[in-house]
Formats: sequence, C-alpha cells, structure tokens
Amino acid sequence: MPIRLEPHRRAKVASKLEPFREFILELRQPQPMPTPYSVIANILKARYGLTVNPGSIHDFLRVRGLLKREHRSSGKKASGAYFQPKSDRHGKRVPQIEAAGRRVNQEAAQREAQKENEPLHLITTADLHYLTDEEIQQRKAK
Amino acid sequence: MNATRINITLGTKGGVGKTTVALHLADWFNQIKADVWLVDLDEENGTLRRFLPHAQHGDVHNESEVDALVVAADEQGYDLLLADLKAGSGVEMLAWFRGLPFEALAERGIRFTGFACITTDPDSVTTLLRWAYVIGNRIDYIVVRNYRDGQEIHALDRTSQGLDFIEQCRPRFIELPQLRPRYQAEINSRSLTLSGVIRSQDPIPGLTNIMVRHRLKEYQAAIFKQFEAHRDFILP
Repeated sequence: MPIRLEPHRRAKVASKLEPFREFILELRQPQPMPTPYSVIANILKARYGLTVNPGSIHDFLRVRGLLKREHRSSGKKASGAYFQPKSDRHGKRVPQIEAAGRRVNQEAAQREAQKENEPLHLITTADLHYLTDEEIQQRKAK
Repeated sequence: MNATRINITLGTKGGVGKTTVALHLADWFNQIKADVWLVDLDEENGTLRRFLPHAQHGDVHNESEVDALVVAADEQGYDLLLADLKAGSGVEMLAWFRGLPFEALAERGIRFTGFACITTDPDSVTTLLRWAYVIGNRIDYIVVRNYRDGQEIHALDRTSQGLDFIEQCRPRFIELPQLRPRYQAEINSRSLTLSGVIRSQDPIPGLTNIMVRHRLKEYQAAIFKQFEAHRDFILP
C-alpha cells in the first residue's frame, strides 16, 4: 500500500541555490562591502546559467538563519575550498553538485590570485535593490 | 606624532553640493580658528578657488599632485586638509584611494573623512556606494543629505545596498536644507561665501538688509551646529 504524505509533511524540495550556499555567503562577506544580491544573481546567471531573483537569494539566506552569518565581520577570509559538496538526504554524493563545487573552488582560487589586478567593481543605479516597507522593518528589528 | 585629518568631498556626480559643503566647511574652520590647507582638485572649473582664491590648485588627473595631499600631511606638518573633488573624477580618485596604504597612514596619525553629498537623484547615492564598495570602512564617512530637491532619498534609505552601507560603514549624517534660490543665485553670482555676505560691511543688493542677513545667519548656524556635533570626524 502506497504511503501518502500528509500535506504538511510533504517532502521538502531542496532549493536550487543549495549547491551555491557557501559561494553566496562568501560573496556576502564584507570585502570591504558585501556583493549586492543583484550582482550575485548576475554572477549565477553568467557562470552557471542559473536564473534567480535577487530577492530569492536574500530569502534563501534568511529562512536558513544565515543572514547573521553573512554579516559576521571576522575579517578572516576563508582559505582553501569555498564550496563544500553536500550529500543528498540519503547520504549519497550528487555528482552534478560536486562538479559545480569544483568549478566554484577553481574560480575562487583564480579570483584570489587576480584580486590585485581586478577592475574596480562599479555598482550602477540599475543594481539598486529597493526594499518593501516590510523588509525594511525586518532589517530594523534585527 | 601629530594627528592629521584629510577631508575630501566624495560625490563624483555634478551638482550635488560638493563645493557648497566645502565652502561651508571652510567658513566653519575659519570661525573656530582652525588652520586648514584648502585644495581645489577641480582643475577645469576651479569653483572652490572662485570663492576662496587662496585655495591651492591641484590636478586630479596628475597622481603626484594628488599624492601631495598625503605627503603634505605626512612631511610638512599640515594637520587639517580640505580637498574639493571635481565632478566625474570618481574612477581616477577611486583607483588612487585603492592604492593608499591606509594602515601605514593610520600609524602616522593620518585619517580620511569622505563627505558624500546625496540628493533625491539615485545616481548621487550610487556614486557614494561605489566609494564604499572599494574603500569600505577604512575612511570615515559623513553623508550630506542635500535637500535641494526634496527630503526623500530612497536610494539610500530604502535599498538593500544603502542599508548595507549604513550598517557596515556607520556614516554620520548632516542635513543641508535648501537655501532660498534667490539668495543662492545672488551669492553664487558674486562668488561670495555665506560668511562673506554675513560679515560684509558694504551693502549688497538683496542680501544685506537686516532680515535677509538674519535668515542667512540662522541658516549658517544650523549647518555649523551639525559640524560641531561631528567634530571628531572632521578635525584631527
């Protein structure tokens, strides 16, 4: 007899941003300022073909309680691997995620090496991400 | 070791009030008898020098002339500098700032304050954020909210980037209320500072009658009061 999941116990679908969790957190570290969500969305689109709304990245971090972590200012940059491959919920490695992780790590290493020669990151007015009243209240509450 | 403060007007967008703020600062330094070295880094228009002819000229495109700001502070004993940037010089100055040895300068007592003028125009806020993304909290920021076009500056107060900047860089804020356009136009056309008008012994049509002079004094006092409140960010 098939087991039916009750609506409130429906299996959770992993976010498509999950493989990029550490990568996003790294970009959100103050260096000296966090990379805007809109720019992160552009990077994910350009490098991995992943289309995502900037607000969704913020929500992804918020629901996982990672917003405080992204704002930590220990100043010490994570060395070595930026991306830790995650197992799926059955404990199996997911090859696609591991491959994406290798790419992220390689690019992070290249980024570190080229940092001195990087062009200036110039934000444009189109990058500005306007918040709703509710989002502003949430930020103030923190 | 002498403490040194280098104040620079950061806004690279034209017409946001960089020179206006520099003139108010120069008037305030004069009032509190602070000895300041004025540098006009707008070699094209020389607006600061039009009002304050004793300001030194500097070419923002010439690295050695911009370096002179730091060298003068370090070697020649200047402890208070005020430099007025040229509009549109953001990329050159950002590249220069990125190469500054902030830690070594801090050890020698040299600190920077960036005066960033913003208006309701989002581009004025974007130019501020560019500075913040490159320099971060290695300098002190005083954000001048220029209410020339209104008080609702949403690009700073209602965007994730603007609020990130406020959280990370902890700027101080100064409000620049709108001066009556008629007075502003008269003062500009005569190349006078506000103090120059207030203290003028000669009558200036439309500016030096008792009522107008009183309004100008009140306006200036409101700005000076804010400078006074943030003197730890402005003075050495």
